[in-house]
Amino acid sequence: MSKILLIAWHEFKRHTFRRRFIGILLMPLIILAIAMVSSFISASAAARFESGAIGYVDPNGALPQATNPPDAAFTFTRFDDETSARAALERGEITAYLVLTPDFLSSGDVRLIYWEDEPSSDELVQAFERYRNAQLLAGQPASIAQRVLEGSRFSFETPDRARAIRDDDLPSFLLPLVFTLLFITAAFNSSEYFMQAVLDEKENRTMEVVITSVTPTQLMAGKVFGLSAVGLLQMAIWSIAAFVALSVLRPRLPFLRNISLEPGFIVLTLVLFTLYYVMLGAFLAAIGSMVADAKQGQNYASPIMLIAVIPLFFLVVIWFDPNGAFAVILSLIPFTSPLTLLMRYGMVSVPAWQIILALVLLAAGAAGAIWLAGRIFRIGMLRFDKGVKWSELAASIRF
Amino acid sequence: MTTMHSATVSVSGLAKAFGQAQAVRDVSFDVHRGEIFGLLGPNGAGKTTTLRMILDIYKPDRGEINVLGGPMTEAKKARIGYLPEERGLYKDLRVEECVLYLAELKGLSRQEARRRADAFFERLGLAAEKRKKVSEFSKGMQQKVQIITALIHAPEVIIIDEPFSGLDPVNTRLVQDLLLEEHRKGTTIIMSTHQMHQVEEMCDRIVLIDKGASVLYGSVDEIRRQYADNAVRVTAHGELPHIPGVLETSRKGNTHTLSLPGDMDTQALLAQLATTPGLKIEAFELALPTMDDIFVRVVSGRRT
Repeated sequence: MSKILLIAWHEFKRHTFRRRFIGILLMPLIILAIAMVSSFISASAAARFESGAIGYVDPNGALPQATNPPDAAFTFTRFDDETSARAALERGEITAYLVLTPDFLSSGDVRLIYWEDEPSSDELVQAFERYRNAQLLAGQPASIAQRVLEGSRFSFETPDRARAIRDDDLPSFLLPLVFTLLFITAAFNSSEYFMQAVLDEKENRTMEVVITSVTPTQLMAGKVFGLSAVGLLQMAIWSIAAFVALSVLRPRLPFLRNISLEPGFIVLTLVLFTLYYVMLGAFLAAIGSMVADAKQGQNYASPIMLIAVIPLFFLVVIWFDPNGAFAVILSLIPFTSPLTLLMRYGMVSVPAWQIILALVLLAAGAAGAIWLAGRIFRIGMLRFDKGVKWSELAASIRF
Repeated sequence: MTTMHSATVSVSGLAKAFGQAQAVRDVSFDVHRGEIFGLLGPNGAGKTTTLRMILDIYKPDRGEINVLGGPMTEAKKARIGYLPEERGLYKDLRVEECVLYLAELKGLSRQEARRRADAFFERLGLAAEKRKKVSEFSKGMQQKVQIITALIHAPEVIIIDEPFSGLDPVNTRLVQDLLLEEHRKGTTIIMSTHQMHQVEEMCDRIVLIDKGASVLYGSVDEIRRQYADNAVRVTAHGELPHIPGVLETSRKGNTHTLSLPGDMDTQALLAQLATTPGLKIEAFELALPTMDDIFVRVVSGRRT
């Protein structure tokens, strides 16, 4: 075990202490910094348009003047006619005014008149509708008025109430999918490391010496663990950056406000992806042992990548029947399980036995892949100029 | 081919094929504790494959290998130093880091590896440059580093494939000195080589492999005697007299080679030359063939 750790640490250091890796890490941080700066700049610019004093011309007195809430972004002031509203606009007392048609209560027609800067229409419309509704409900008991203003809150539950999703939960519901896709993209991006780590040993002609100190399986396991740690570190740093970004942007972006991450989801994601990363890495390292150069390796690696994203092709099937046989099978196959399980996790209550079985199979898949990589490495390691034939590969797996 | 000596490495009836190509068909030999053993043979004879089987890099199709008293185990790998013909180092690493990593893989602690590495760097004149990247080193300097990686864990057995290939005379001498020093410490050394004068200088015993089979095996001295024609070599100042019975005489400078009939007494011949007036004898020895001659005779004899 200590030799595996030694190799893992060696690989980890070799890849993380490089300028290239630091660049990979800094990239999202730079993007994050730029996003935050631009967010603050645009927020301060938006403040001009997302708040202000707005007049409204209400010739028939459909909406009597009401007290504006103290924290309201837009405040509304009633005018009897358009001339006085126009005069207030010219004096700069208001930034725009709305003209309610005489039949406003039946037609709902409103015109917006603005001077220079058009107010953010969505925000203004929402603010005006809240103001309008509050006015119209003024005579109703407070509890009824509040219910009409806030609407209903639906939740979707399983009979055992193991899982419940609220209708304002959509971002959390999509989060597994987004996160999974991000992870798979990162895994694919770093796939080159796994192949190159073995190809380097061939190109440097070091593997013949290394292999007289450790077994092929120890070497493969060490490389795969070390490089998986590099990939997971990269993901962790990106995730922290994303978390910071989310925290900063959440107050400004309403659709992010409802995002919540369950601890169970986080743990499952971590375990699934660690195992998946190790398994994928072992297969890629095995490919690195088989081929003579990285270009040839990419040809073999592509089908493996394709298998992992199979669930995406069946997204609709999984979406409509998340507990169907097809979705369950995809949840158990080691290559497709991380993506399918997490997609289903966001939709339905996935039975515990399926999660446990999927994790066991994935762990077995990872261990098997390392074993296989060791076998293939033994026959492929000293082929410096040519790859391994499929027949040789089959023979190596048999003994 | 067993001997009375304790064999550090013992190989018997070894065979290995790669697809249709039979790389090794029948190789057997014992390597005694503390000796320098030469593995000789023309290109493609199966020397490297044999070494790789001893090191458990390849599994033999047939035959038996015993290393340090039994089959190869993971623990035994730490007692062996190996320098393959295809040599290399991690080019993107610093020299010191590269040596320490390979030493740790052989079971040394970081501190011990560093202590021994520093001693080697000092001795081989690399101390000032140990923090440079391997890729910044010349080929000769890289060779020195590779030798360090094979010796740093003080192995009981050193296996070196073509130790002198690609080395200039200075580095050849350096490697030779290092190996002889290890030999004096009692380390067993197995080396495969083409360079027959190195075999004569360094090896105690050899096996000659041709077309995957061992064809000549024994001590260097015995083999040379075995292949010696009945001839003596005389280095002398002055003219050699006519000696009755001598079949043929050839001369190169002051050295004369005399071919003798099988029943001729060499002691009587020496006595006759020693009493020849005006002849000053500097050397009188059996005319043993060089290992180079024997190699060519055996290998080309098998080709015809």
